[in-house]
Amino acid sequence: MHLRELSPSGIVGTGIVLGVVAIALFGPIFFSGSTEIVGRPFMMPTPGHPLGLDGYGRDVLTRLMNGGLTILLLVTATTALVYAVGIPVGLFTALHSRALSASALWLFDCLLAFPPLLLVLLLAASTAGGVTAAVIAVAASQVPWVTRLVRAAASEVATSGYVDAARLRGESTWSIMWRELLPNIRATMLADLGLRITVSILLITSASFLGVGLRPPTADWGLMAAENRNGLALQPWAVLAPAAMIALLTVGVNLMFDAWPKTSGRRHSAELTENVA
Amino acid sequence: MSLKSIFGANTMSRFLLMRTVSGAGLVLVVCLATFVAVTLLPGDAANFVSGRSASPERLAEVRERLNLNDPVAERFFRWGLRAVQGDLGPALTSPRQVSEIIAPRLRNSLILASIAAALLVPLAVATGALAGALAGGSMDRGLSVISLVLLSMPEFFLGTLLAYWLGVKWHLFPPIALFDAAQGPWSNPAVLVLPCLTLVITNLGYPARIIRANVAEAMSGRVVLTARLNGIPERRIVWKYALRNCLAPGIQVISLTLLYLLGGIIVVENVFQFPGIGTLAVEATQQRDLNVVLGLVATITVIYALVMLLTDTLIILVTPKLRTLRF
Repeated sequence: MHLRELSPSGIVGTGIVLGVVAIALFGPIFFSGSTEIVGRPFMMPTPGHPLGLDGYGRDVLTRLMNGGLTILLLVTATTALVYAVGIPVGLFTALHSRALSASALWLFDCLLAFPPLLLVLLLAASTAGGVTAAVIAVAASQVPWVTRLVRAAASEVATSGYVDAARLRGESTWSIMWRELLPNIRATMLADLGLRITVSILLITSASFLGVGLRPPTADWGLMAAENRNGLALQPWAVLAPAAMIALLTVGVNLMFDAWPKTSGRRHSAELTENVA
Repeated sequence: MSLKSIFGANTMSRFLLMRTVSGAGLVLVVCLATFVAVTLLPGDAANFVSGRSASPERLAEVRERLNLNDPVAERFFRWGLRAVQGDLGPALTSPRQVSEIIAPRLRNSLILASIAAALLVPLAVATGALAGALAGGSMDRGLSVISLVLLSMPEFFLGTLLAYWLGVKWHLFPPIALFDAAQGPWSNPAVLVLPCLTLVITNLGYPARIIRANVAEAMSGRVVLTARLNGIPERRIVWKYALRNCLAPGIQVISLTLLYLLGGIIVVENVFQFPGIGTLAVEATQQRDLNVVLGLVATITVIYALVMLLTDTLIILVTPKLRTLRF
């Protein structure tokens, strides 16, 4: 894919994502001391502290620079987990529509009856809480969608001649899944990837915002937005700056991936995504 | 006696019966899973109720009172029987009953969600139809980018932004929804404005895009071509022909949006500290009041199942092809 094939909004989105990811990755290198107390709580911006101080008197800019890495890590882990479960199950159920597949799909449908954040809260309440619970709950709420999408796309491929040929050659289900089906649904999966990442970011950061997952004094954009909410009238930057970083990331990712299927993928795959999502 | 003899050859009522049964099954399974997850905890409810330093006698007494010594299956059965009658058992961290705690909060949330939905649905249909009718034009491209930005906006960002601008800075609406949970938001309707606005804006993008895609497809179809050749005015074509042809996907996406609204309400309520089921869910999680969490899961799952059943019914009613189909 070449940059000039992208639409203007796609270029803007890619730029935003690169900027936010660069801050998240390199911020911690240049700004240290995110838990140091340097002044009065909720102090308004001064030349030394351009974004002011938070509710404990810590520098907001320093914390902002350190608060993106956790999100990148958690979102990567969540998205990887979603695909690690969704792709094999989706491919398998596309090839075999027997009782095992039917019950797996039905089980996943039950997960869809939970609003994702309720699932996060439920898991946090019934375990010790923590990051693992948040990641598992967010992944669990997304796995059904990915499974459905993979199954829908792979079912179409599964009826084609080369899959029959592979079967007659005596290839195993496993090998058909990975060598015949997966490469042929790549475009559909790519068209869906942006949505998955966006939803993962939204849910992981919302979980932090609701006090599930990461614990203070970790510098994390979602957590920062939550813990400084009481000072909104005194020092809005402590809340708005980290929340804006998350908004920039989600908007950027969506703009970037929205430009993809138009330029490189097939129109068909975009349609399939819209129907399933 | 076969199903057919009860319901006759009417395929629709048979289909709806099937959907009702599967919906009830879903509620049952979700509640059972939650019940088991909540029961199999390290350290049971008695520990939460009586605190860490409780004596063994006190623990045994609380266990007896909450019937924690009975088998899980028996407890679930008893809980389910009472839940059907609207009794969700005692709360762990307060002397009140779970149903008493949830009822006013649920009403508050439903008021918020209904107002948001009443604004959201016509707005989504109108923008979707407009963009779809002008597909490919600059208006369509502009709306497409705007709706994409809106649907990727975190609720807590837009919520705090609105709370700061319209609440703290301009003093137009209260930035925090302070009112007595038992009295309900009508005691001070202004508190509803910002949470509603946040819900409407963040949930508008998705249905608008889907409706746009369907209208755009219908506009390039033969029905619309024929109508154009007959000289029917363009505005009438969009409303009478194109929109009508995407009624079924429209209902589908709107019902999905209503379900998202229910999820988004959890964050929005917490941004504005609105006393609804969203703030209750977070409070109950923090206090680890598992009976309240279980009651909330049951309540929300029932609402989910009802919305889905209603969606299926409406889709059958508006799609002649499905009305006569044999299942």
